[in-house]
Amino acid sequence: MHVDSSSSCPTRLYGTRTAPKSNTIEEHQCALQRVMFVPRQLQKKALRQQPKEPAPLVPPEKSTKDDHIDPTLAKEMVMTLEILFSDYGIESGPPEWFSARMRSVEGESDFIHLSALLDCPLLAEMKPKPSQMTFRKALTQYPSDFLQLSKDKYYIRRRHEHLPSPKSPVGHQKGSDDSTIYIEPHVTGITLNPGRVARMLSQSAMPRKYLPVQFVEAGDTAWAFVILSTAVSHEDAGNQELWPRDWIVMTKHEWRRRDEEYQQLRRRRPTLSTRTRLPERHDRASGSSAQQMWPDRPSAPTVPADPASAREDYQRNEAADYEFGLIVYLTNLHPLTTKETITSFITRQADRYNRKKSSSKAKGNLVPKDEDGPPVNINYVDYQKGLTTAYLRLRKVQDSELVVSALKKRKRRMQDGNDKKGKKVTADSGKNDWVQATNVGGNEERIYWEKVLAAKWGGGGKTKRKRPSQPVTLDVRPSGEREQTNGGKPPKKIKFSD
Amino acid sequence: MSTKTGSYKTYQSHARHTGSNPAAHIPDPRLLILPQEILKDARVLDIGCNNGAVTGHLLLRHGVKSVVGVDVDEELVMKSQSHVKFMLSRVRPCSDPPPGREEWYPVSSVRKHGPRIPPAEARERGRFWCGDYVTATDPAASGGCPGYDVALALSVVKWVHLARGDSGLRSFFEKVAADLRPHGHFVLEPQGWESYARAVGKNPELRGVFEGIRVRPGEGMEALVAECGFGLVRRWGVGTGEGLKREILLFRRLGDGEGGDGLDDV
Repeated sequence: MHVDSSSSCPTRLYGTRTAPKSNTIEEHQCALQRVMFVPRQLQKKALRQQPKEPAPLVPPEKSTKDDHIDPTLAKEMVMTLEILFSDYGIESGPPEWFSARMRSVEGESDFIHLSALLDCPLLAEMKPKPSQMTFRKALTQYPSDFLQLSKDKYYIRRRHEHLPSPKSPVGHQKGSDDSTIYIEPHVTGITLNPGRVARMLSQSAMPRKYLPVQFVEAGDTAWAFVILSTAVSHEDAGNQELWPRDWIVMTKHEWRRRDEEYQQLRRRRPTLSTRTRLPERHDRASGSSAQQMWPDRPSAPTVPADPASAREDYQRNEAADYEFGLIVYLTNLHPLTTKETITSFITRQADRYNRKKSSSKAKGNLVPKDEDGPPVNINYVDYQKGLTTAYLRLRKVQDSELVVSALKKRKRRMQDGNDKKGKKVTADSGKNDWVQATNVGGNEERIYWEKVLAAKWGGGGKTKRKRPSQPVTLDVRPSGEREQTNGGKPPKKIKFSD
Repeated sequence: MSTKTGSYKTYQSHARHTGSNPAAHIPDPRLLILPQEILKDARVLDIGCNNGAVTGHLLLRHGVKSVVGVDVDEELVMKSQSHVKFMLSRVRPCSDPPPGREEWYPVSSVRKHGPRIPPAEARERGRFWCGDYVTATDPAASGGCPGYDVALALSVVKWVHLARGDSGLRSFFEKVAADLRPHGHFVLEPQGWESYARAVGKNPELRGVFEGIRVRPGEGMEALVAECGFGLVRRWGVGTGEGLKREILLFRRLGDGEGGDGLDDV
């Protein structure tokens, strides 16, 4: 198919196929396109390859674009930079982060290019995301007494009169608790934006002696520590009129007092028995099953619970600290498997079981064919590498019943550690080494949950478990508590990366 | 799920009305305008409890005896349970409560050390169950009328309406009437009709029901509530109080043989 490539060329108006004299590259391109077929993409490419005027090494004095940005945002950006360049900001990151970025500009040292600051974690939560241009505009709009822009306005450094003396870092760190306040702002999220916290504090009625804000150490989205310029009195901290409206503010000393009081109160709550040992169900021998380990153990029901007993179950649940019927014990796993593989394996078995069940019902016109059963929801896989057994914690009782029924029906064996599908074990093979599941109930379930809850109440969590002095506990957390326990991590320190 | 039931994961109480997510210690303006005497020591039903923020406020600031929350989204029900434990953990237990005792213990302490309120104790004050309020039954209900003093349906009827149409909405109000004790109060915050259209825009599956709706929010819906055995007590228009972005209606369940004409004070 022929494409008239001359359509985009202005010389088409002349209605001639004679190549005119071409003085520029663009005219030359047009001339070429008239006499030969040129794919559209190449035409564009060719047109894009127009020579550009060399960019000036020094930016123009005045840009034709609007040099002003939102004044609130500009203030917050400048304050963020001031916090970044404060003693605390410099100390909180690795020393080489700043030194590696420092350059000499026009014979003066210690300047850092604005673009080199953009990967600083302190700026990660700023919205809209800053760029070197917006930084430049903000610093032009609100010149800082603390920071100095280079003549070309692309580099920044602390003013020499504000440079820390060699003695200061140790000194102010020691007394910083007196000048630190704990804050809970009226909306969530702003604690992650230090410039915003500083701007809101500066616009409040707080005594000016506390300004400027030296540093904001965010705990999470709801709270932060703010280091001010001088020690904060307890009276000032308790006077709500001084602080931004609806903020909770207290001195760090008061915060520490309440925190200790809280911990004492928590210790006094009814503790769960942690001495009771869970019967040792983990077997290192491959191929052993739950029935072999506990021959006298009654097999768990694999049919859905009688609806009439639902109320009794609910009442039992109400009396306990955990929900019944969520734990399933797996046996005959491959010893080299992983938690991820187990999850995939179980999910697949449940899905296939559901699909088969719904298709058989559809044959009897009971349900529409495309109406599969609900997917299984696995909250946690409690598994240690090398074992052939594991505990599954599921979201609902129906999930655990589904897992037990699906594995019993499908009789799939794990062929290797990465086997997510499993191989059918036939009846004539005489083996019963397929992955089996049993509901954990009664005393065993209670002990299991006690260990889980004890681990949780004991301040468990990833950060805590990593400590070598911490006793090894079950690596589990109920999903309902996830939101709370996630906060168990220490306050976010600014992490700098090179 | 969220476009069908409105159970947005980031939806935090009246956050969507004010444009930002308020911290847990910021009171809910919808509860502040209500006559506090109806909440004092009341047994409250919170229909569409979402993440439990309203339940937490009711327990801490409004002196209710207990709250039962119901939501169709299981994740939100779990979130609610967690939130109530969090809120109750912050309260300083003492006989002579100082001002601000509701948020005495810092958020950091609860997040760092875990809630101090055992789950069973939290459930006594704030209990939640998951299900469609119109069709499902409370698993803890022993049969008969639960006899709540107050029922709240804050920004939830649109979703019931769009899911079940006019007949479903009537069933909803009838069930609320059945769950309340005589002269109990029903607080309704209906969404505007334009909000219905937005929901349908996000989820075209709702269009069929939407086009069949004859009872519009406003007079039509109020008449339907009255038909189900309620009398309007008071209304608060948009802009009343601080931060109120939707109309709030307070109804009272009528006793046997009681008329429902006109507004009367609580």
